[in-house]
Amino acid sequence: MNYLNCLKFKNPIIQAIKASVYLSIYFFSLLVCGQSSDSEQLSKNKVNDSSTKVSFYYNKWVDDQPVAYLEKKKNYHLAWPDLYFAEREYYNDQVEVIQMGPAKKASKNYVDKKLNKRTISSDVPLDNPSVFHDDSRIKVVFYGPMVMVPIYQSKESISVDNVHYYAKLKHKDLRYLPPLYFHDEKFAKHKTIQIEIPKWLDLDIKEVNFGTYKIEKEVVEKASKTIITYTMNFLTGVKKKDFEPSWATYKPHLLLIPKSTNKKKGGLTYFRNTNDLYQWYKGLVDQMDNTWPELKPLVTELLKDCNSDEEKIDRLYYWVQDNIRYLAFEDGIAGFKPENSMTVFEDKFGDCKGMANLLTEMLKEAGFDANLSWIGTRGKKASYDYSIPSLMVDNHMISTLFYKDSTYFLDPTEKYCSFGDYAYRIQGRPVLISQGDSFKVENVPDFHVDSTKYTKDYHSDINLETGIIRGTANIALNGEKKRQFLRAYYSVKKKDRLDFLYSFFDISNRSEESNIVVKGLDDRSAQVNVQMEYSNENDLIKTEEGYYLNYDYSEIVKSISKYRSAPVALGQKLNKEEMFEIKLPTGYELVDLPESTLFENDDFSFMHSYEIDGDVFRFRSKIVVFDGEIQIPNLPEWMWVLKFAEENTKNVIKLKRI
Amino acid sequence: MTRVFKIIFSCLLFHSLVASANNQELIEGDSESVRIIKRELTYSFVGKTPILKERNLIKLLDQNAVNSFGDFYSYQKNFDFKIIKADGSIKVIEDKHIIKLDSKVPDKMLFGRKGKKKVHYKIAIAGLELGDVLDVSFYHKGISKKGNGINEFIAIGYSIDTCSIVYEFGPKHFFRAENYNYEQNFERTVNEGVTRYTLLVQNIKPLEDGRYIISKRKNPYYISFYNSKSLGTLQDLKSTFTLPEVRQLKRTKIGGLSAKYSPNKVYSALLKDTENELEDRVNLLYHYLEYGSIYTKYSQYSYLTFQERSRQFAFNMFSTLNKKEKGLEVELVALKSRYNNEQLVDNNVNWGVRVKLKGQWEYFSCPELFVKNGENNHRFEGVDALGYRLNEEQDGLLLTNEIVWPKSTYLDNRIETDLNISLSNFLKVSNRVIKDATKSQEDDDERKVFNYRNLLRKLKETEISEVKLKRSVFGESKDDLLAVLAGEKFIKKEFLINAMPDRIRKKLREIFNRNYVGLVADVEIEDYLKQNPILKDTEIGSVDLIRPGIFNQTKPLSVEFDLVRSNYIHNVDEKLIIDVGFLIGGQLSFDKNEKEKIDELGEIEFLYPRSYQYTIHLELPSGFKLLNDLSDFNYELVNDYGFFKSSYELNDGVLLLHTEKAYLQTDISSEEIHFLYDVTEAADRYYHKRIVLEYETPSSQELVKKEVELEVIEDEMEIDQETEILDEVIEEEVKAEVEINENVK
Repeated sequence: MNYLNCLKFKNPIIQAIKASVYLSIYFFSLLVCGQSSDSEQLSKNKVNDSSTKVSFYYNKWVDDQPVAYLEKKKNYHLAWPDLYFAEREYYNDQVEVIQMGPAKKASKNYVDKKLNKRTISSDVPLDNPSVFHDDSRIKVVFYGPMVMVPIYQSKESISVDNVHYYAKLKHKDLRYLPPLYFHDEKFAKHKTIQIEIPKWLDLDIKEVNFGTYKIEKEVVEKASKTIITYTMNFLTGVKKKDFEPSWATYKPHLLLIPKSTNKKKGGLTYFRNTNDLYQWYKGLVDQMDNTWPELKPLVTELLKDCNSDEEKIDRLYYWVQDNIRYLAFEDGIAGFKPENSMTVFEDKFGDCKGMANLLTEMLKEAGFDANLSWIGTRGKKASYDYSIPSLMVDNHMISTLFYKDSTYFLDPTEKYCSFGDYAYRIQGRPVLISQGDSFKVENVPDFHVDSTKYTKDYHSDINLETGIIRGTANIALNGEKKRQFLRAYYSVKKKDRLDFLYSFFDISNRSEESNIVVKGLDDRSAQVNVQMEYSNENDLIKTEEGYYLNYDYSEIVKSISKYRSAPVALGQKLNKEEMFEIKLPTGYELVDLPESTLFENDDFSFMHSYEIDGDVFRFRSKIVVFDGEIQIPNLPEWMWVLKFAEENTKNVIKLKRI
Repeated sequence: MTRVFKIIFSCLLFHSLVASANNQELIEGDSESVRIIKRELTYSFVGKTPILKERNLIKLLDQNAVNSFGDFYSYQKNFDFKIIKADGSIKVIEDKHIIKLDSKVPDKMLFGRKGKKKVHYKIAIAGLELGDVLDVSFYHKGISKKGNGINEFIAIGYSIDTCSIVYEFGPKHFFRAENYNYEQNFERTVNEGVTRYTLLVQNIKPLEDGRYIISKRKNPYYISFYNSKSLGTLQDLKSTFTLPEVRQLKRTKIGGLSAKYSPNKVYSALLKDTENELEDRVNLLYHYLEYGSIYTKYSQYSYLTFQERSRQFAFNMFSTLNKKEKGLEVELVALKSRYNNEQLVDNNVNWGVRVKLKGQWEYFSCPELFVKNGENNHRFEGVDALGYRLNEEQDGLLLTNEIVWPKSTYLDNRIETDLNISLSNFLKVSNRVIKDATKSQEDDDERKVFNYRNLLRKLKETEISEVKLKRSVFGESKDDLLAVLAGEKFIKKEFLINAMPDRIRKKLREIFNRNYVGLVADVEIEDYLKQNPILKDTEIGSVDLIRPGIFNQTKPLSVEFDLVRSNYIHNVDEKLIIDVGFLIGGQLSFDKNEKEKIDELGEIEFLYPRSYQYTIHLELPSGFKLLNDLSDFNYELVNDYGFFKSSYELNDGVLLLHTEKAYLQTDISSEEIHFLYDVTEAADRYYHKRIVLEYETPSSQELVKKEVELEVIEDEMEIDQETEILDEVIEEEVKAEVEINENVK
């Protein structure tokens, strides 16, 4: 549109004034900042191209060992209302952010300072809810480019392409190189990861979870280095969903495992094999001072009335669980080096390393063969084992006990875990067990899903005169479910515990529970049993011919959102079985027994069954998730089953007068 | 919706604590986890900056308490922690366990956000064990200098053995503190020029957070402190105010609004709009002043107490109406909140306005729009008040009337909800289902019936039903709703602007844009409505907000929308089950613990009388059979404290369900609370009610017959279409023949 051509004025001054008015209107500049979309609103921003380049250097005058530089580039497409990008980089004493921010072009390997006016930077501590203190911090950058649009253009159609981001980070110790992921929160058309390995560095690249993903790899040999480039196209953006496992367990990524270098004088060995990894850990453990005079009298006092070895083990194991709070200070090397056992005892808190160390020392003092051990938990490290000599393989420490020709894995961070029982997160996982100068790798047993079964039995009678259904409920908890309950129960103030019990075991919002009795609260190895009575005056609907009756009080399992490209990780094996029995009133019979349903696949099984046994109507509901995970191909069926189960809780049966 | 009842208490220490894990109980017979051995509150007004020192000696009675107090955040820089072990030894917190967390954020505006530097601390108490006493002191600087209005709940969430409150002053001071149930047992001591007033209280029960309100002045652990003399009671307020005094009281500037948008100018604009009647103008002015206070959130105005805000509001409204509407009867009203004590100090006199419109007095008070629970909107119900008019010389105020601020009734504050549930889509859908069920030639009749029933079961509620909802909110219930909406900054602008005349709308838009980045559409209302429990898990289609009610106190605020998806209708096993009880929303109920607490308190206080009326229209198409015995829906419970009434009508295939619940009283003693329980229990019974509809599933012959009928209908439609085409063809041929004949001619 050319306004000037439309102007036909006789007076040139007026012509000029009016032209300038029209032009200024034409080039009206909108407010660029827009509004940040709330989390609920899906952003239309995406990444055209994204690349990560890793290169290695060593300058003996600057660094005491070879370092790695990570250069990240992103080419954004921004759309209203999110006409800005936000990027964050983590850093600590081992990682330095050299620069990060907007760049003018893709070809430029630096942040353009001229764009500072439209950049906001912040630096915040990392607030990790499971760690009391972590010295890691996050640098955050927001950048919004200036956008010029015609006045007639609607806000919603505003977008801007080729907005570049650049960051350069320095990793000071190659042992701590992070995994390199292809995916990001935003959709990306194209992602490249390039690693330039100099000839003086022996480095392995482990490709993890490549599976069915289409990733191209190119290797170029040059005189001084090898360049390996991985390319992946059309990567969907990943937003955190309920029950989503850690990316490390299913998203494709690369682990960079430094083995050795001859660059530094005398050479430097990193992790050529598992033994190297173990020796590095041992080096940290050897720095601990575990001698303290109070240990012996403490252990003696604790075990004075124990009559057997098993009792002694129980006593010490449970003492650490109950008296040492979990509180993690991950400050620099403290993230890897266990705290001295005496410090943990005096502070009465510690992280997994400190607690495992204290327990190991106490057991050793009592004469048992206990050993510090490392383990990578399910949910975060399931894709790794100790064939990969990397610090990324594990994230937890426990104590391993060799007792009577058996191996026991004691995790003092797991409250209410009995001796011989294991939390889901460590079941089936390999454990690196210290044995002085050498080590062993053994696996934690993987328990059958029946070990974590919990059951609910309801028996009801109907009083037609009052319209009230009365019954008793018996509930039994085992395994992970039991431990979850105990942790929750004991975290509540004493005076509120009764209310908590009624709330936790609430049958339905239409019934009233009473006379609750709980057994097994004080015995970690026993089942927890709950008995209570209930009454319900809302589930009997009177009709002309008889009654409709609600019968399904099963616990609803939380469903997942429709659009999902990640497996479901429940965090435990699920084995839930509920049985509802209702004695039919005299003079009435059931019209139409509902149809039973059975469904099973590799990941889970589901059953609803119905039967009439004399004058008793019986409904059973069972859901089992064998390994605590539903893989992507089985997700539609999982959703269907949960929806079916939820709908069934509204279902009624019909009673007719005989 | 159902109101919740709260006990308001201050708890400076415990809001900053973070609970963590758990452990065993060791002390039998004692249900407490924590006991405060000693609590000391010292307010020092000696120096330039007032300081509050708070010290608590906390005894940990179980491992849960050890875990709870073992680590926490603090936003206070000045604190002191010690552990007193069982043997009497003292352990101090090490510096390494005090982590300073600072966010380095530049102070810069972008996207409407301001960078703020935040510093806080994370503290881990090492060596804490069961049986230890934690000695915790915090120093709060810069507490209110005003003195008046420092109110303290000395009770907190734990039992306290001994609590002391100390007020320290320099030589020149005024001190008065009061408490409803306690005599003023402050002991006065003077030492080195510092005067101390000390009160000791023993054996204080824990203050629980509950759902009920009691008047602060009736709480035995509530202390009000004043550092200025009392003005006496309301009756002692001056019968005349001179002009300088009026000016002093008036302080015309509403902070943040320049003279360009003064109330006088706004009113002049309203006068020019001839469509506005007097009642409209007065209400619009009120609304302008009312919402004016929101948009000065960041201005000096917002730092005023409620009393000062009400004074500015009332004086501005009074003076504008006197200036612009000659002959209009307007009175400035001085009154006292029913939550305050009888004795007045300077700034706990509240001010309102009353205006005679159409022969009736209309009362206007300054609302507290940031208070979501709306408590402060009802503080004047039924209180004594004094009315002032301008004197003859127009240079002062003259006391004219002693009045009573009106009390609202339950009907004044009602919420009416109409729900229209239509199942007429079902017929259309079931025809489609018949076609799908019978399309396979290989299926026999039995199989076709099976298919039909199976497919019907899979129908979604959205295919079967349509639900429309209209809610109208009146009086103080409306004020509460507006307060919530106004608290959502993006909602209130559009919400308000589109309801006002263009001229005012433009002015307000300019004001609003100063603080906010652009305006947002009414669609934001949906987010608010989704938070409403009755609408949980529903999708809202269109939303139409009927606006006029915002600006007129007597008119309701109404909202209409479609529920596109609802979890209250279930298609289960050839039945439609409608949770009609859920549609009237969750009901207030009291469990055993709460009833015991109310017994202890002796009295509870409701906010204001109100009622909830629901009408559910359910249209039943043919083929549906209602199975319920509807006599269950006819019941009522009525007493002096409230009522719940439920009834039904069934006419011409339309079922009408009515419910009305009302709370009639604002103060209820524990002796009479059982009347309220009766009402809530009657309402709770309704909450679980359901309607069960059975739709007729045809036998195989009937299904075939229906299939044939549908085919016939379709065939007839086809025949009609063919006939139409044939007619057109014949017409064309006839035309052509005529033309040929004409040409031949």
